[in-house]
Amino acid sequence: MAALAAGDQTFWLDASPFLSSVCDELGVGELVHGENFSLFEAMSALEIMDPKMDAGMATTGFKTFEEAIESGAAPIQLTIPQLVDVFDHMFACEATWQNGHALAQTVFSCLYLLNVERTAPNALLHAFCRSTRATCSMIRTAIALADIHEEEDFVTMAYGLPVEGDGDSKCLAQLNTVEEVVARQLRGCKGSSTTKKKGFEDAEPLQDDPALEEGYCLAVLCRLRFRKALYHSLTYMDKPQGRGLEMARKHIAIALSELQNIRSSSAFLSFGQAPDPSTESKERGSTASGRVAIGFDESVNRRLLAPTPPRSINIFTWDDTLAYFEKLLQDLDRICCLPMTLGLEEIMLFVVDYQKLKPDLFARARLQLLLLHDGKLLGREPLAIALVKVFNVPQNVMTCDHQTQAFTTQSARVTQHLLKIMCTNTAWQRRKLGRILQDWGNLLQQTKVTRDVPLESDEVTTVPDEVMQTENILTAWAAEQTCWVVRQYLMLGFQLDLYSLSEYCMVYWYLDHVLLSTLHYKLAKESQTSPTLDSPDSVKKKGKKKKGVATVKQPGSTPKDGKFTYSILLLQCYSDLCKGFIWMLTALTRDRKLVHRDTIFNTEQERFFQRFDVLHKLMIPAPMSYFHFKDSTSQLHLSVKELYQLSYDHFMAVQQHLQELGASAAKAPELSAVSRTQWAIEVKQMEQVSLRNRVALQIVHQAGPGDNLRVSFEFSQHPCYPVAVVKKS
Amino acid sequence: MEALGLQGLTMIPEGDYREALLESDDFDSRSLNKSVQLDDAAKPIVKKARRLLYRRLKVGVEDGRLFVGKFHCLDKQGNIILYDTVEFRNVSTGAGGFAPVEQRVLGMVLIPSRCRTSCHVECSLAEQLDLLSISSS
Repeated sequence: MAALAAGDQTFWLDASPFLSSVCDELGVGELVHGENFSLFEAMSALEIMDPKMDAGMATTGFKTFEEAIESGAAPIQLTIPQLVDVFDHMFACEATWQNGHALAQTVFSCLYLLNVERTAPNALLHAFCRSTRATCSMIRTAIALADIHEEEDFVTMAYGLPVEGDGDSKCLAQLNTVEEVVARQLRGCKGSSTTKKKGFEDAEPLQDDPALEEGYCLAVLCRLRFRKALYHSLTYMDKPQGRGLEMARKHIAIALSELQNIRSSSAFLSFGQAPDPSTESKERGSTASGRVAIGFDESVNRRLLAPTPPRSINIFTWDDTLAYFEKLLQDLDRICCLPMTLGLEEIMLFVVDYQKLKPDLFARARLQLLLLHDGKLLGREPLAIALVKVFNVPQNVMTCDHQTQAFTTQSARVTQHLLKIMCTNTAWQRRKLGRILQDWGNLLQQTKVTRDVPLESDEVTTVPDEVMQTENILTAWAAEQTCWVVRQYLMLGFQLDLYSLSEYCMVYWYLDHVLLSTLHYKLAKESQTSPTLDSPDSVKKKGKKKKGVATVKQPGSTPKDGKFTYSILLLQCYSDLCKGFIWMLTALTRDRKLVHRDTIFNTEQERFFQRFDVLHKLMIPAPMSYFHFKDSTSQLHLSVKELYQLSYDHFMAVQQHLQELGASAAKAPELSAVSRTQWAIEVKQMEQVSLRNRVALQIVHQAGPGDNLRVSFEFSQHPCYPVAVVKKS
Repeated sequence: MEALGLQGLTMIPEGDYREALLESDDFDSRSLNKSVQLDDAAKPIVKKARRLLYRRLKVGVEDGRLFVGKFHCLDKQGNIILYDTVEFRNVSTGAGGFAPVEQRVLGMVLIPSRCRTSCHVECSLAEQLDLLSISSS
């Protein structure tokens, strides 16, 4: 090594003394460098021996797997308490991995997993390792397929780790075998304790102390069963078209109950362990017993992390691990509840609602795979066909009109993209939504273009009414969807805490505008029988109409079913909430009860532009300028008290709409159970928002000039609509 | 990552920096940035040190690894930056006479002077005398 060969004609000459004398002569800050040197690039140099950058730094641990095995770090014959510790730590590693840490530092820090074949003599360990590896592989594949881990910490690359092994598919059989053995053991020791018959020949006891035998049997058994149920539920969820969802739910239920057993076994396992602070450096270990599991070594894989700097990571604590799996299983269970008969619109609502649970990456990946299996909606039908159902246009138009077909193909592509985006994490989702807005804008443009063409060319003067009507429907659909995306884009800003208090007013103002546009196109789409509804004109109309007081359009004589009125009423509620907030915020600001932080870097107008610039590129919802906003919210002729009253009226209107909502929900039998519960929660939240804000409004309304009241807003009831909190300052 | 025998080293192509080296003294004075131009009359030993730029250096560090890369930069504190660096290290502590060397390509690295244990420069037999004189001056 020391004699590392130089080139053919060259040799190594010791330069240390020379360099040290150069250093002495160099001035402070002076560098010896060539013309290709730049300080900026030099910043990216890996610093050798810096523990945060230098992955190759020699550490105290083992350098290779073989070395670790030779030194006996991972014995195959383990006592049962040791084995349970290994199981527990493995669960903790899995949870840590799924939360964005490298495989090499988490799951594969387990020396047993690095060479599963080695563990064959220990049947329990072997079965557990195999199924762990199979489960991890399934999770990894699902996340990679869904392709939504961009911007998240999850690394799908395996870096040469033995992620997949032959015969892992047989892990179930092995699990079953060992489970049976342990179960028999448990029965045996139960029997022996009741009948006082010592020593049964059936099987060798798992460990020495007969008094503890039952507890250990239970502890091992629930862990094995949890593993099995987890594996089962994942395989069933993998089945296309949701065919395995029912079975998956069953296994998720088992897994959850076994998780409870695991939790309750902690007390038994940690018995007699806790009061020993001298040996226990960490306060809370990653195992139920609190001991450090053997057979794990992070440094073995150090070299596999190659160019990335090794991170120092904390493996989840035992409590966190259990909590993680519990949440994951509940989130998965929610996915399994998704009825396979849902239409596109309801699916969208489901996803939005699902995101409110803040599901983890794997759950979201699973949802996306279910929704878009093979590029088909729910693996059932291509999106284009699903869209045709949504459009509900006459069959003969669909088959004859090429433009309609082209439009459908195009919208299927954009819709698929939208669905995929909605399964990403909310921050990323908002950014992506901003970007695909343009696609929706183009789609809208397309409907307008296709409609204009046959009108201009004279030979097709006999455009059948049906085609005209179809175009209207398509335009209305595209417009409604665009509005929906914009609305989602604006609302996510609240969930992500992007807006400052001084911006709330403008955001609600714009949101209200978007909501009214949505409402308008929804009505236009439904009232397909009335050809008078001409969208571009009505956009202009709305611009004027929406100013000021609540002019909620009534659907008039449009045909409507229960579900339809339901969503209309819901939109009206949202819109009234927005209006309530607009006036409340305006009034509070004028009343100096709301403390805005001064913004020295930009004006309100600039902020308005920054917030809504992306929306100004769209035709629908019609772009609104800052002056529109100022114009409609200043209302100088109204006094503060009157503004409070106005706001109060709007919140009151929400209350009324919500009651109607309840009534119409009862009349909508085709509503799926999932959507029904979803809406029930939403209604409840809105009721609270409306109620509490009315109370706050009453307080500020009655307050005299002497009371120093301060109002702040909290998103305690609804993610997008806050509740005003009044305090004396 | 694979463990290679020592012969793997000879496969590292030698840069064609020799031509550049010959005229390095000339371009130093005109083309380098401000800090260099300021002291145009750099000390002779610093000028000589510049002649080592682009040459291969072999730097050993405390934990036994060797870094072979092209000399990129040196500061007063003795920290060295190398580019196109390859790291070599003994893997096994095994008893056998054969000690496999593991190597990996790192690109640009900064080796702080505090952990540097050795430093060698590659030179041809013909240059040896010249460089030795540098070393002694």
